[in-house]
Amino acid sequence: MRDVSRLRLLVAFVGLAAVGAVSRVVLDAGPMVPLLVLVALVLTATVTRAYKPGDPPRSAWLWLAGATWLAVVGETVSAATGPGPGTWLMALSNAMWCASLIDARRRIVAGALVPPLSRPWRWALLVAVLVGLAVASQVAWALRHGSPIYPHVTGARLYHLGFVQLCDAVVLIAGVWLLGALHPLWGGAAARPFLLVTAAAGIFALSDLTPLFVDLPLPRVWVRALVIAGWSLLGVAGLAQLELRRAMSARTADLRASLRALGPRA
Amino acid sequence: MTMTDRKLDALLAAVADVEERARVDARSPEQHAGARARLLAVVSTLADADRRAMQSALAQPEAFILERLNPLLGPAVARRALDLSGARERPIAWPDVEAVGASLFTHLRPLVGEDIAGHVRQQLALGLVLWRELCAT
Repeated sequence: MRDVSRLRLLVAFVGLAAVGAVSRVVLDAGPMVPLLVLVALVLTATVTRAYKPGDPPRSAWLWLAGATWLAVVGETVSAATGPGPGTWLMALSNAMWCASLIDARRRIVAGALVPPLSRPWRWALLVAVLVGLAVASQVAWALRHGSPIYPHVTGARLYHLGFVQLCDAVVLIAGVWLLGALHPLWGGAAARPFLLVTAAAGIFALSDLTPLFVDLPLPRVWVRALVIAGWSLLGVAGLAQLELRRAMSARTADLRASLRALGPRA
Repeated sequence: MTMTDRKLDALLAAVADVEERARVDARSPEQHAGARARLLAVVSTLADADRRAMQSALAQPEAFILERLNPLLGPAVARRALDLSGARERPIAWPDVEAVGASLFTHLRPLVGEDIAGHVRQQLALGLVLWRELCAT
């Protein structure tokens, strides 16, 4: 059953990424909107169908669904009016991602089922915090003196750049913390959706490291491919949670059917 | 025949269904007992070899519980969940399983939500019912 689930999720990833890639080629404006709408619908379904109101992990998915719908609005506004308000909506969406990662870790460890962070993960978290502090200090310096990496960026765009970099630092810290919490669970299906969310967040953070791609052939294509992969992976994370619940329901239905095959009952 | 065999799982699911409906509908004990008796009559139609295999599979409650938890949590956390639910102090016996199920539900809910945690608890309750019918007497 697990292998079938993996195949389904892989097909879903390829399908979502194909929607993103084709939209990029076909649409002049707002090319990410079709993919974002699909992912937002999947995450909304995850919130409403995979959990009951009051379930602790539900709020992390609510943050993600909100972030994605906000990205839909931001991308649409950007397509209609050009960069401006849409850019800040995307930045807010980025911040909601961070909130989701932090919330997911807090909820997951609340039940005492997950053991405390092991020593290697504590070291990894320390390194992530130090990197995050270095990024924050660099952002503070850049706001006063201008960005050394992007000297042409000034004014509101400089603040936007700083905000995005701070969000990436939070994603790094929260992502490492969440991965460390989930590490003992890696062999189980329950961890898979959150691992996919963390992977998607990492891909987004990577896509913001523009200098990494400057020397590659077709640098913009690499960044776009990463962004499409990140959103597609987020959609797959929602599907993985739905698939976990569906697989158990299907198994129960299958069992009931085989019971009927055993003979008449009540 | 393993604990994931269709026949046994079918019986587990059916007993769960009866138990859950009885709880939801707040049926009288007589109605509840009647429904369960009809279901367990199905058990008696199983071949002797199947019955022996089921009894063997139910012989170790810890193994039964871990078989439910491992695919969901992975072996390490499944073991930890069992230990947190009382297996650390002493080996789990079938009469303890209902309490273990309730404890597991509390630990699982923050991670997987009420539906899946409830499913695990329900399966343990079913294992207990089957053990009573097949092994305890």
